Amino acid sequence: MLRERKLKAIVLFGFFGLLAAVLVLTVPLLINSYDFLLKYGKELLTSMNWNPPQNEYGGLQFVLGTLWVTFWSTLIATPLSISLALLATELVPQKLRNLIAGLTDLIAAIPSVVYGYWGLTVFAPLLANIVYPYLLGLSKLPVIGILFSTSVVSPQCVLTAVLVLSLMITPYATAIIRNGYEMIPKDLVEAVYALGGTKWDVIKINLSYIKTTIIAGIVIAAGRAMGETMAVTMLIGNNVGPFKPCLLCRGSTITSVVANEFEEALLNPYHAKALTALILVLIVMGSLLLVFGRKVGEKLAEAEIVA
Amino acid sequence: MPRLYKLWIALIYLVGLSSLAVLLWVLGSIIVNGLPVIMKYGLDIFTKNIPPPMFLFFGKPEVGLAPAIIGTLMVVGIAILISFPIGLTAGILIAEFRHSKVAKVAEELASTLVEVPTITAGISIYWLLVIPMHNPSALAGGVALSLIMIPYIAIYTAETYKRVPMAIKEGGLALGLKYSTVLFKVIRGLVLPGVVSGVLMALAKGAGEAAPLLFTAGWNDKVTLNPFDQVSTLSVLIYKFGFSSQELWRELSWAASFILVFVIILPLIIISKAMVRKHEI
Repeated sequence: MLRERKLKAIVLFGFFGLLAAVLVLTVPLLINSYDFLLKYGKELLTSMNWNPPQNEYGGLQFVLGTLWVTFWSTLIATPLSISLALLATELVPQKLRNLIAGLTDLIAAIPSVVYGYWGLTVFAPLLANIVYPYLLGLSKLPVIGILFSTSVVSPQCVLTAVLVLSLMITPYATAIIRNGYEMIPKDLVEAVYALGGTKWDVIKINLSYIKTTIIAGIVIAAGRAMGETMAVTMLIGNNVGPFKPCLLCRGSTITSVVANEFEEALLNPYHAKALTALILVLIVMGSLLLVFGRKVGEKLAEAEIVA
Repeated sequence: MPRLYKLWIALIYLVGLSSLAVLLWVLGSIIVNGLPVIMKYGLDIFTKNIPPPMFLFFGKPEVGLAPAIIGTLMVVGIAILISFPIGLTAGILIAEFRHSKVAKVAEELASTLVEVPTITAGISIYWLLVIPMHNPSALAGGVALSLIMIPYIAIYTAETYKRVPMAIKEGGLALGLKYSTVLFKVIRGLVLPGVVSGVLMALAKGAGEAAPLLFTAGWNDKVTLNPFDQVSTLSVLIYKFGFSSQELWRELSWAASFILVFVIILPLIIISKAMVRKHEI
């Protein structure tokens, strides 16, 4: 079928266009960070001493911060998105289902910078005045106390970023879970009812039927959280000190330190290259997450676009 | 025991509806804080330049968002010029030659592009274009955004072409038409809504992105139409002015959020969804 020259040229244009886009996205990062990586690569991933004016580039706290934020926001988004998907497919009256589904889709389209600004001016002050003083009280508890121990409660902290981030990624996971739920064969549902099952039995069986789709949705949501830049930068407090497993402290992630420092970093070539290298580390972390995701779910890319 | 499951369902209702409520709260805040600012300055918002920092005021400043609105349109316009031809042809490749090796590699490449964090585009294009050109520009911003929009168009196009029944394509081929004639002429009416819907989604996605533009598009508080000049965009303005201590700038961040969400993004998405739904078989 590919005998037609013109058509062949057209689709090959598409192929090389995609290839060029991937190269444009990655090659400049490699070229501009390899000499940094040769010199400071080990320090970047093992030390937490980040002091670019002194040429100290320990970036482990950003890697851990990214994982920390991703973990908590995914943990919170999981029950939210499963509940929302169930509401839109199974629970609310037929007429309202499309409304709920449509709303979550529209909300998925709100840009992250708008979420960040909303978080900064509306949500964070509210949390700092009402919720965080109580959480600070928990810091005396054994083990989990460490999550809440900080000397000053600030509206911009890891928990604020985590909460807004989990709201942002919920619609993505919801859309994917909902799609999976709608694909469930109807006779499965009818069989459960015929055996005298309740609506709850149907939900339980359906959820276990689409387990892989749910995991795919959650992995994609986690990937979004990991690469999310604007909202996190605006809300996390941007403290570049060593990583602490704490929710009420100010923190930082790879994306937040890059967004914050890249402009000033250009005065010191190694500083800019260090941030570029951190972006490479982030890409590797995202790929590892997706490799894990591919093992359980299929067709991740299409699911991602559907969201 | 039968009571227990009702408790679970009640819990799901509670969690689901409260997360929906918070999400509506976000939309509501944008209206409540953004609309009054736009009412206050009226049409000026769309025609006047961005006010400079407070200490530079001489008399009454111009208050508007025109440079950011035009900047957003320019950057997204440049991005779609690059991403449409690549996305469309790549989508056709992925759908129509789906059993070939090239198409499978293309699909992998497209999914790589979606999965990479968007700030990556900003940093790579910074090294690739901004450094050699000595200046951020609308062009560099547009190229960075195009990297994010390409996979959207490609995957929407591929999905659309895959949905056309084989029988229609075979019918065309049986009449002795060339495959390209079938793909671009015979089924044009069937695929057009899907392709356009993908383009609109990509535009909506691109318009809201700030991370790729922070270091590539630069900043400008005057209107410019030169693609080699720095431009400000609505998304970057929300970020920059959002941290400001000046009341006026924070107001403008809300106005920009309102315009971005309710005037640009939501209409694009609603039209996009309506197009596909109307033509579904």
